[in-house]
Amino acid sequence: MTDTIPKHAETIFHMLDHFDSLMQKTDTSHNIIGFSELYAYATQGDHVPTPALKEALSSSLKMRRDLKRLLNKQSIATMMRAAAASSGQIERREGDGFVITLRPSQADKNQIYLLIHSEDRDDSPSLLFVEEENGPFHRLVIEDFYDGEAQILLSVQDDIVKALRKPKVDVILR
Amino acid sequence: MSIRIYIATTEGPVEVQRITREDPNVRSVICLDGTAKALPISRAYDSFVKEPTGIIQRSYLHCAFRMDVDKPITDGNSWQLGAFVAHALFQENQLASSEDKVLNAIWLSGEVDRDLNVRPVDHIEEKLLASKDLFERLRAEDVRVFCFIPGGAGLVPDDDFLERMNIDGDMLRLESIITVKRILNRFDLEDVYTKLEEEKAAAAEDAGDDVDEGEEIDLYKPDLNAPEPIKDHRMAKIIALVVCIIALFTGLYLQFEDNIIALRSGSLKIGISELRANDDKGCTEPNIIPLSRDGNAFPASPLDGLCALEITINNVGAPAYMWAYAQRIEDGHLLMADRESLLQPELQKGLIGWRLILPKNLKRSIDYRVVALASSSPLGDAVNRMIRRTVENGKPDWEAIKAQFSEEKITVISTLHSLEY
Repeated sequence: MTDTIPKHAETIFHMLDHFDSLMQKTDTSHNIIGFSELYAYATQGDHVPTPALKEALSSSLKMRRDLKRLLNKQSIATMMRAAAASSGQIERREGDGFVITLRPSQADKNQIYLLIHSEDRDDSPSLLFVEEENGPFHRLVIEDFYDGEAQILLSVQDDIVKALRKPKVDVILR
Repeated sequence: MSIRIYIATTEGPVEVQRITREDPNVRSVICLDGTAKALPISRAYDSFVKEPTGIIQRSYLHCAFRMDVDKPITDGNSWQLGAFVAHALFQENQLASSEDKVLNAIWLSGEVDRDLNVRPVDHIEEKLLASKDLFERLRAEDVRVFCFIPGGAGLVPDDDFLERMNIDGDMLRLESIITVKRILNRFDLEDVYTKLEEEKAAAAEDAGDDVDEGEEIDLYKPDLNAPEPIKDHRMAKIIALVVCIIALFTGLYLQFEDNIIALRSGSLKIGISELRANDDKGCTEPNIIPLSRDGNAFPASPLDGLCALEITINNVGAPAYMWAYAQRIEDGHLLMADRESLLQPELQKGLIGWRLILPKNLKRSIDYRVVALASSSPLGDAVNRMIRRTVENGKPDWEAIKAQFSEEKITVISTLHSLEY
């Protein structure tokens, strides 16, 4: 037996151990996100997502697909990504009887009104999801939808505002 | 000079930091301290602003505003009066921002209805108490504070409370009001009542237009069956009217300030009644309308149609030497001071009163204090000392006056009242 064989074995052992720990962590993070938690996140405005769920949604493609499937079944309205000809920032979207508009605040240039207006629907959405292309989901609670309308004041730096302005995003109202 | 607005709440005063006109496509919103945090009362504020329910759009012709406040306002409607006055000041570019140095501040609590009447709200005393530190700070900064609350039975705190709050009628004033007009007039703000009247007239006209167009009446077509017109002696009436007006002016000249009519003799409680022009007989036989006192003040009396005021003292205790005077707050000018009863003092009990006839050409608002005195000794000397002191100082120092009377064992009560132009 030469000296090199134990060194190789040690290296292989360390790599396998590292691989196992990586796999173990991934499995653990997925295991702690139950369906009920994902369902609550997708459908209940008062649900506060755990850090584990946020982490899973940002890092796991599978988790995002699960959420997308769930939302497709549970949504009130879906606004698919803007036409390919769209250029620049999007300030208005419409679809399934709803219109979403962004209007800058006159009082503060760093703030913006997000208006959600129902044109011919009786439904009152309580959540808005924005799915970026190959990116994370953004979720916004709609607290005060009344008279067919909701208005939410946001910072222009808010991730959901930035996402809504991009052409290639899907918007889902739940 | 801009004016700062404080909305009274039981959690303390809330400062209106700024108002901004927003895009007409957005709803009006109240935000916290310049942040994007919209307060839960924003929905109510939007209804308060936007027509058809709102009165701000109707008054100031814009439908979407953002108001920033320094602390949360949680619920209720008592913020409405403060919000309305803030908009009135904003319209005239007089609403102070947080950074502005001010000489005057307005503290308000009240609900405002569609006719701009101020409706009662609860917890006035708690709101005043919660603002005590602010009042003291503003006094130290030499900022004059006007507090406006709704008029109505039981709304104005009692004298002891006002005294504890150090409401002196000078640097800190408390007034009960029944309409917003008084505030608009006092601070020389746009008279939105004209718009209100025009709107009512237009509504009435529209209603008239709707009355069955098929039944139009030709006003110029003579009715052959109509009886002979009654002769109304128009010329004689005009002459009589002119004579009455001349007599009235002569009377006013003689009576105002000096010629005060002693009415009748009766606990030491002050009463004020309005004598308003009768529909038929004008001021010759006016309608007497007693005012309901709320704590330390009576509701303001609009000058329009006001012929005179009747001021009474009711003494249900032992007979005493009694006297009353009315003194303009801004300069100490005596509006009512009955010399006769001072020169010929007599012990009295029950109700005694004086009538203060107003000049017809009075075209300004007047704030005044009615003071009633009672003592077991004649009051002439004490009153003379009071008047001399006021003349020397040029402006009445109510605390000093009260202290003087108290030292001289004179019972003294007072109330505030305003004549509103």
